[in-house]
Amino acid sequence: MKPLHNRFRLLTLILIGLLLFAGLYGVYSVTVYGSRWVLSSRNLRYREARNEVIAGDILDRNGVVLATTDDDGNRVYQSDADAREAIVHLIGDSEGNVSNGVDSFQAKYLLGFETTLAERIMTLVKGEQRRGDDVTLTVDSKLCTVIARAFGTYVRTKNKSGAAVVMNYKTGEILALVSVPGFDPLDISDDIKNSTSHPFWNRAVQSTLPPGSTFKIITTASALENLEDIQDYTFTCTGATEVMGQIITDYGNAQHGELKLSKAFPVSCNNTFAQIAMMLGDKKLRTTAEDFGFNDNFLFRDLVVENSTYPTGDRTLVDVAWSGIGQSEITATPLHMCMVAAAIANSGVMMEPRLLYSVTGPTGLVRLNLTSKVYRRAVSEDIAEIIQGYMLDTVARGTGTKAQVEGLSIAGKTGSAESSLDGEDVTHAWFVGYIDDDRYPYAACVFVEEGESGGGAAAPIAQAIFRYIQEYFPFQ
Amino acid sequence: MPDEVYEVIALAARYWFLFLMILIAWRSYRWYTRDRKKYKKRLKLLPDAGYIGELVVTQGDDTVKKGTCLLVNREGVLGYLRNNDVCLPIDGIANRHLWYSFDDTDGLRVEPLRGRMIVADGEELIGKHKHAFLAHGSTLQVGQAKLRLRMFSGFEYAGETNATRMPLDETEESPIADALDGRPHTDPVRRMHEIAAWQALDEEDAEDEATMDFPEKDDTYGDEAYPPEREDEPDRQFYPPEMDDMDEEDEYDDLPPADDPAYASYEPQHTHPVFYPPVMDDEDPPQPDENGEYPPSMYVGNDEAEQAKRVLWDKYLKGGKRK
Amino acid sequence: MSRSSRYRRSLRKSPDRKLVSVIMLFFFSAFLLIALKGELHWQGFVLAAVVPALIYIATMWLPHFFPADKLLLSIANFLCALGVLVLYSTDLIKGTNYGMQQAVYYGVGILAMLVCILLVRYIRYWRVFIYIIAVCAAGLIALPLAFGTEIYGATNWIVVGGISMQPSEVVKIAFLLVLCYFMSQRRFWPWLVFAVLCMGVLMLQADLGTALIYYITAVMLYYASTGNLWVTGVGLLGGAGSAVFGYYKFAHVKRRIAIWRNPWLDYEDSGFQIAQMLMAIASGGLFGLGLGLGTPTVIPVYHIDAIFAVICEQFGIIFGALILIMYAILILRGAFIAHNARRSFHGLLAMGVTIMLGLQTFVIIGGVLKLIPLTGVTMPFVSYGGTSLVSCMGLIGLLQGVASVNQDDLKYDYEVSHNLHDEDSLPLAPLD
Repeated sequence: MKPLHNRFRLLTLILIGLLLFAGLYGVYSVTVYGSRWVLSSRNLRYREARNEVIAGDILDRNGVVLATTDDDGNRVYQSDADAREAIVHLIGDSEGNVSNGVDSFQAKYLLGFETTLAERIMTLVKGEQRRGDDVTLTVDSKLCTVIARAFGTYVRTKNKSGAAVVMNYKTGEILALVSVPGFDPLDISDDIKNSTSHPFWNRAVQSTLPPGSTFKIITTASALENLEDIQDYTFTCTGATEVMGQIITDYGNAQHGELKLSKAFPVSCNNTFAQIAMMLGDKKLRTTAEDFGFNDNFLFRDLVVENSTYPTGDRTLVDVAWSGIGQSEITATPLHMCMVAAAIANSGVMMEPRLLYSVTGPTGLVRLNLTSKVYRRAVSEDIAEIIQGYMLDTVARGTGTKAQVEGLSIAGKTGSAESSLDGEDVTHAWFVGYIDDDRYPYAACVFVEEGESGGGAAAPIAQAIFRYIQEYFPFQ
Repeated sequence: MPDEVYEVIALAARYWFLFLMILIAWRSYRWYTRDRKKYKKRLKLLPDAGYIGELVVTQGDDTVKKGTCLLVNREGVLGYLRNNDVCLPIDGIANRHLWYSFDDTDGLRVEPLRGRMIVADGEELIGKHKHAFLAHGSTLQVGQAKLRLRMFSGFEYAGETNATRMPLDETEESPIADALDGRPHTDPVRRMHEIAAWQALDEEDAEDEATMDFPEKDDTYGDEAYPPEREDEPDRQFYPPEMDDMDEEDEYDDLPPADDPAYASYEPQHTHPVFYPPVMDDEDPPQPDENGEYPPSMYVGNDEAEQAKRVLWDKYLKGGKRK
Repeated sequence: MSRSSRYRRSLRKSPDRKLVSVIMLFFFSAFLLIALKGELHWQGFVLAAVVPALIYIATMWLPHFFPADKLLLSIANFLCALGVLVLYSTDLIKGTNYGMQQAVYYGVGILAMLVCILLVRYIRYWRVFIYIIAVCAAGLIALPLAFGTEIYGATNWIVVGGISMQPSEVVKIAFLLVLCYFMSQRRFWPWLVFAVLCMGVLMLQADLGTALIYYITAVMLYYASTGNLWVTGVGLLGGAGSAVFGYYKFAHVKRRIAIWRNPWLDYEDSGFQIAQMLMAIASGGLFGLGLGLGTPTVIPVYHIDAIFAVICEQFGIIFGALILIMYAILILRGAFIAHNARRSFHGLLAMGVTIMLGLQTFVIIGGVLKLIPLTGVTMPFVSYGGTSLVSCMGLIGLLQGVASVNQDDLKYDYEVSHNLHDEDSLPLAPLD
């Protein structure tokens, strides 16, 4: 019987272990994933709550009311149609066409799920109808409108889709999150619903496309980390690098001749970076990419972002070469690329994007204030400084000159990413950059679908953004 | 009740329910642990609990000496490894050698595991699906060891009809002598039961006295086995020591109180066995040797054996790995 | 202090009273609260009085007449009453009658428990009886193949006059008895044939969750009784192999695995249940929404599979974790009883019951939390379902039967070791 009893003990241990594991998993998943499950727009509880509770207001950082509830219980947005269109992806509409807009993602505040027992008793005693909390966002709605207008008026971006994200690289606050084309939440017609340009998509956080040459920031970081004296190494760009039967060319078939890294970055020489990638090898490049947040499961507190991917698994040499210049199945969202630029600007520390400036209850009690959180450390300070220099060069002398703003020191990186859309080869335009000034610590990422040239299509919008910041933003 | 009021009450109540639930879970857990401790304490009071008898080694080797007593429980496995219920680290025994299971009427059923051989009461058994029944006094030979089964009191008659017990053969010497310490029992519970047993015997004899002829004084066991006659009661053959009024002249003050320091060097004055097993045909009743001492019984009632077996049991818990 | 008042005080402090009084308070306040919802329901007030009284009777008085284990009884009664509470709170929303029906089934369950206790305690010679049980069980489990109706995707229900029963739940008890008997006799083939038969029938009826539990219980019991790691390993591999085979053969297994990975992909159709369960649990958060609040009835099959999600929605996930702790204490107690068994038959029986209950709890809670794919097993004691409640109470009865046999053995050993089996009185204080 003794061996029997010993085996009984083992089996009991297994059973208890299973149950404990289940219990811990339950508590873990509710605390971590709970907000995502509960805020799925299909959650009926919130729909029902809207009937009983007056939804709170959504304000921007300057106090502009972005959404409020009128006496009939309907959601009312800004009076200007352009402003509504620019901000609609951020806030969401009342039919739930936009997924995870602030109106639904922060519903736990807006519909009063976070009210304390004491407040509820007071409301009950006073006999008023329950009211949700007011949420103040970190965004500047006017900047969003400016961005949308720039997309619509500039020659290179007219009638094209795209997105732009502006962040404060020191605190992680999101200043603007725009996706174009937008739509008017008060006027949703069937045409819009069936439109092929998918106006309901929030391209800033949902579209994952190859970042193109903007990925060279990560390749550079990886090279500076892993390859010794890479800054002194002289590369040869013959205009075409052949790797395993495929030829990598530069934009416009340019030939740069002999050049060092400090020149290759501002001119965005594909050949150089393909060679660097091959020198690094897939593993090191992937490790750096993961340091920058690729392959992470983004579970930000304030918003839902699609994950960026760097392919795992066996890759051939030619795949690695293409990865060096940001192609070959690497995908990223504009928000993530903005975080990358912000990381470089912030001496290598990537901050978590924050959308909530403050949340106040109906009685005026402040429930939440803006806090900054470090998401991860992407690179060391020294490497970040070197890349900062390169990025400044890019805007001063390189491919990003269209982003220059008088009186400000702008740093950036352009990108032209090749991709295929509906079977056709297209080139998307990217620009990531920041203001190198402690008074205006803002980073931006602009993305234009089928924009052809990063420096040509995306950079001017970034210029508009930085000009607006220079003009209207107070000193930090 | 209006909905809002109910909602507020329900919101407040959830903390109350959580508190009660924590209390319920905590109390259940405490009840469970306390129950376990109580049960373990009770088991400690009964060192024999669950054991139906013991196997006494009548022929062993250097590690397992003659006279070793191995406790046998109701169901278990005998083998070389310490992991088994009966651990016998002797050559010729497999890691798990035989399986035994006790039935109240049929006796101890032993069944060798696949491919193992045992000799039970002279009958050779090999492999699965062959079993034999052992009773009190049966022999068992596994590997190079010979064992004899001794059932504890209460189980002596199990298997009476099934087992065919073999007599002791000449090679089996008195097994216990090597192993004994000779220390008497100090357990007060045991002593109390000894006293009770003496009293029972006394009542029995009083009955006998009343019904049959008073037997001749039996000299088989010698004078020292019996207490001398008391002056006031010449007809009493033997009487139990009464704790309350012990005279100094009484030679049978031989059960001093438990905390008496003299107890440590106590030598049993009487070796009259309290219980003797049913005497087997070929076996002679035990004879005293030249000093007038009797061989200690290897069967039920021998308290030194009980003591010794516990000492040896602890010692053998350390053995058991294959060389 | 006088002796009698000291005795009374010690009674008051005794662990069973302490626990039962808290349980009674819990249900009294809970039913009182739920009765206040909306219009005042007289049923709620009646339940507020009746349920605590029933718990008191079942836990404190019953052991006077039958040899029952109070701790197991308390936990089982608590869980049953919790089921009645939650079902009643959903009844108020939906207008169904699950709570009352469950209370009736509870009465039947108590009877089944008593039958099982007496079965284990008084039947000493199983040699012939076990074959009768095996044949009856085989017939019972095969019955739905002939007359069965399909509910919730599995054809293992029989509907007789409006009452639906699941024979595979009742056969659990017979399954355990047969397995443990033959394993304790060290005979391999009889129980293997019976087990394969049962599982084959279950697979035919497409009741894969129950088949999984039967299978793993059999493998674990085999390992416990023989300790043969090789064969156990082969058994586990065989189980994994048949799981993979089932994946490719049964379309709905494929669907279940797909919605386990990401229920939102197929939201409208098959992923709906899991998505709603997760939303319910998440809405509850740590402390719950409150008794009677929330929308639990949105979840399909909320009264059977997803009852845990309903509990977590109303009471919170911390409460749910504490419920898991109660199940864990049940398992620990079962293991304790198995450990103290003198005969391997009783030990294996107790361990088998523990394994079955523990596995069933893990499978259903894992399914609700999206830890493992959702299967169609019920949550012991809490889920609505007559046969499931009756079979769980029967299993607990088996466990208590073994506990009472242990007590008897201990008493016997005590008497025998002190040579007192002929005496009428014992010098020391008796055991229980």
